[in-house]
Amino acid sequence: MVLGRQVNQYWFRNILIVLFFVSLIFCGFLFPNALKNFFETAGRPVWSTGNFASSAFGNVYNFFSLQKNLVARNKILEDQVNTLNLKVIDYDTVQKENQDLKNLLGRKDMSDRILSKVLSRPPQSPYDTLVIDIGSDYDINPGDKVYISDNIIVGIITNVTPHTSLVELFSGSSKKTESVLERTGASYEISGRGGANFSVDVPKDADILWGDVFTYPELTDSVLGSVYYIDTNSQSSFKTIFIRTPGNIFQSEWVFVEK
Amino acid sequence: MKIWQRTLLFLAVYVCVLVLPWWLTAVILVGLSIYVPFYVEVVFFGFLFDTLYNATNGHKGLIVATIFILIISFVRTRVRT
Repeated sequence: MVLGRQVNQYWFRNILIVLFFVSLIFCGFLFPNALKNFFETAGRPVWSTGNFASSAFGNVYNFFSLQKNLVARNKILEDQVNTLNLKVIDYDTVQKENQDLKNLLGRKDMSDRILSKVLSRPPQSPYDTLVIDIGSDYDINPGDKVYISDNIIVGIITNVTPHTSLVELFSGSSKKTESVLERTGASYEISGRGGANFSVDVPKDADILWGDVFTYPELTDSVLGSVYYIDTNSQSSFKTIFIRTPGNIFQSEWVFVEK
Repeated sequence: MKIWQRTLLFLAVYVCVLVLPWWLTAVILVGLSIYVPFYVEVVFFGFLFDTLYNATNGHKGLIVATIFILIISFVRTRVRT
């Protein structure tokens, strides 16, 4: 008798779970934007507080570092800053020259970029997506491109609510992106592997080297990533190229949205 | 477990979904599903993950959570009979 009651209760609970599942599927199907809008609006203060807390307490570790280590590190960083300053000057010159040439050829860059704060990023998100703090209030639309610096493109906007947007990173698992190898001009379809990584299988004799840069095909070439490892197997006629986005997407607090 | 305890737990896990790494939240949800009787909220949190973070309108989180809670429910019945 008791066993029968327990079995009944088990089936009753399972039916409830399945009903709950089906009702959520229906809700997601009927009101996808309303639910996303509601949850993201409710989550926005929590995300903002979490980001503030992590930036406020993130430097506690440095406070306890040894002075000797800090001095050595400071010296290395100063050297790097000096080298990078020289490269920035070169970069600005080349960029200006590039813009002048485009103007001469009648191809003006009409893009308009908006700075946006990242509210949530992996590892909070299991899907390689970012939530940013601007939405339709800034006239953001699905398909707008997202950059972490002037030339490094990381993803596109896929969902927009009034005050937030969801960015799908190109490195999302199984997402395929057309790209161009900057050095040779050859086109490849690179596959996302998650965590700002990509890979592509190419014939063994394909001309790809460590450090080669893959760009997003558009008027102004934007960097998708650079080659950091090439896996060659003697038994296979293909080699696997591993590509990584430069910079750390998962620590950037700001991104640029290009309309 | 009383209703107010369950509500507080719900809010705490909601904050975890927003702030903690997803794998840590998943571990917490697995623990709660085993510890708390009939923790159907896990289905909602699977749905929340999909709604907040999934760009392709898929229901991966919701499906995984539902299958998991059904397995837990089955195992609980077997263990206690």
